[in-house]
Amino acid sequence: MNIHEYQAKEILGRYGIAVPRGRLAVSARDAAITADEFGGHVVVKAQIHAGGRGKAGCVRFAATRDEAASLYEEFLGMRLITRQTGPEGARVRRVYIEEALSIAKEYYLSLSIDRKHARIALLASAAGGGDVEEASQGAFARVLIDPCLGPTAHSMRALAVSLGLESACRRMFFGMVQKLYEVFTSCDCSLLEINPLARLSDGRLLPLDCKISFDDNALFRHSELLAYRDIEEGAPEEFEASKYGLTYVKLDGDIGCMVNGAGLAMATLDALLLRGGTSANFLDLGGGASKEAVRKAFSLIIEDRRVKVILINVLGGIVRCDVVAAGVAEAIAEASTASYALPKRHIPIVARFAGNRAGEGRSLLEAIKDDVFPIRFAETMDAAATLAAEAAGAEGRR
Amino acid sequence: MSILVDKDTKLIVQGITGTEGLSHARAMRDYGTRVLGGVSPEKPGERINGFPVYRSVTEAKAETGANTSAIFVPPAGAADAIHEALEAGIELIVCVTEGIPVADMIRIRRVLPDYPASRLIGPNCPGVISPGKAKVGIMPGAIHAQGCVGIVSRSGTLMYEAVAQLGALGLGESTCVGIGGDFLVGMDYREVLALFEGDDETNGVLLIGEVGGMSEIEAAEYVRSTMTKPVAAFVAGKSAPRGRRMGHAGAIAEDSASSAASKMEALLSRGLTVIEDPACMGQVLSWMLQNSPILL
Repeated sequence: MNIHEYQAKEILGRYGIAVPRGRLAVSARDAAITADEFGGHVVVKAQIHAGGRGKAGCVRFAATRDEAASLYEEFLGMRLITRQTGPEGARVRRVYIEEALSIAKEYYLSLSIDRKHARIALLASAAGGGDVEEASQGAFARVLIDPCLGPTAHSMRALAVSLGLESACRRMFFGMVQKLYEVFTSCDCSLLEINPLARLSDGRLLPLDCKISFDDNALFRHSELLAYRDIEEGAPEEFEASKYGLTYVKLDGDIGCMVNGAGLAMATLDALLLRGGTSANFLDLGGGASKEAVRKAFSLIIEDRRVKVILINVLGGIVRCDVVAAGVAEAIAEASTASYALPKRHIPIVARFAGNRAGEGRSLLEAIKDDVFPIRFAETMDAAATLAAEAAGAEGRR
Repeated sequence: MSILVDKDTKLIVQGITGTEGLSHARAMRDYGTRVLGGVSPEKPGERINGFPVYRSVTEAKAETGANTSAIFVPPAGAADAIHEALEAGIELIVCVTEGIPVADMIRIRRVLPDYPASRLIGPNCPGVISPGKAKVGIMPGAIHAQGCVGIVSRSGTLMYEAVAQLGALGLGESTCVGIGGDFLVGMDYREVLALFEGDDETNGVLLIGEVGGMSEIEAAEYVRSTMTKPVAAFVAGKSAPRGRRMGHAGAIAEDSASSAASKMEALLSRGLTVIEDPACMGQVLSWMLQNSPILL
């Protein structure tokens, strides 16, 4: 789960880490008042979950209250495209106003989990700010943190020296890392990134930006963090799907895919790609999908206006093909009598059932006679992917 | 011979009183695995579907002589269940549970080297099966046939797909190992490959990888430097956008090096047979085994 910058800073504040004064503005007037409060000079920051905002021009300095107000107006509602949002961009729905500070030097600092060593890794660089992604690997110093010890004084001292921090600053640096580590472990973070971490002209060390992601698997023990969830960030289908225990990832093709299991779902998209097809989505029904979940999954696909063809690839292990077929049948029946405006058109379905109750599943689907959704069957993944890719090509020519 | 599980496997099920635990305990027994009982701290002394229930893993091991445990404990208690099995001296621990917090696995991985006699498979894995001998996990037993292909995979369903493709060509498996789709797991590809290398029933190996992490490449390095048996590999997720989690907690391409395309390239350059089309895993394996010098 990702959260906004202003929320991340709120959390840092709660753990005793000093952050710049800031407030979420609720109107242009509020932005102006906030600017007054912070002495006129502020930074106006669009809040979206993706990074790269600075380069996209949505973190800007305002020298007066009027400038703050007009930047607020400009940012709010704007569709922001950064290198992390993809071509669709993300709509700005919140604008954060922060005091402007005089910066002497910027650093990069992050905590994340190192897969190879199964440790929390601290990454730091003297090249902070928006250019850090272009910086070479060699520009980063990395320290693996032993979970029994936490960040040790000697390793942080060595790190501070390698970053070129002067001695007065090193103690502050160690104190901050200890607190960040506490945030990371107490909140079950998967990423905590401070970029830039700024050394101010007045000597203070302050996080100017902060990005936090939480480990979804650990959210069950952090009900206090759920309030930070912003369901409007990300595709609405993705949130809808998550309520049913499904994983949905929006892609940019035209073949709607419904598959059981993450690996098989990814492989199905890959097989389509090799046959000239492109997927509109990744959809994993998971290990034990119910009829309800399948119905929901299928509805998400048929309500997607980009979808020209639907590919169902189910290899029943624990999942039963007949349960999947029943869910699909319900969704189709619902669509034909739906009050919502289903684009009334032609959406061929290619279904491949194998394993647990494959025959029963196929019989259930064969019983469906619906002009909008003609169904064809395939025995193998090869045949299914080929049929679906061909059908999408044919639909494209219609 | 096969690896990890066989006729000598003596299994207990941690979390046997849960719905999943019990139904899979039965399915494993039906397959022919010696399921000697289960563990549930709440209900010791009961018998459930013929399985005796013990208070702790230590007690279960003392009573039954179990050497293997399958864990079906819910996420909040699963890491503790792994540790309990380690402390009891269980040799093979298969953790099926999906959804364990990464922080819990950091702690487990920190202590794992203290138990050199134990091996951990998973979490978030389908388990291990040596067809015709024993299954410890949740895979559908019926699709498997005994044979000479070893499979190691992060994904469960994609492993079943490979098995189905092999079966259609009349090929079977020595052992299939699902190492799990989580960010942090126990045994990795390289360790499983080393076991296949020393197994006289395995003639060739299929490695099924996916986006995220570098463990496929570390495994390929081992294949290049040490292995004599042929290894073919497929890496799922060519269509996966960078930075998006594709179903599995661990299936996320953090950088270009952990993308499917660059992994496939890295595997090819280390001498593996790289399978581009997941619909052709069976065919490639069949071809590889026929053309492998090891069989001549």
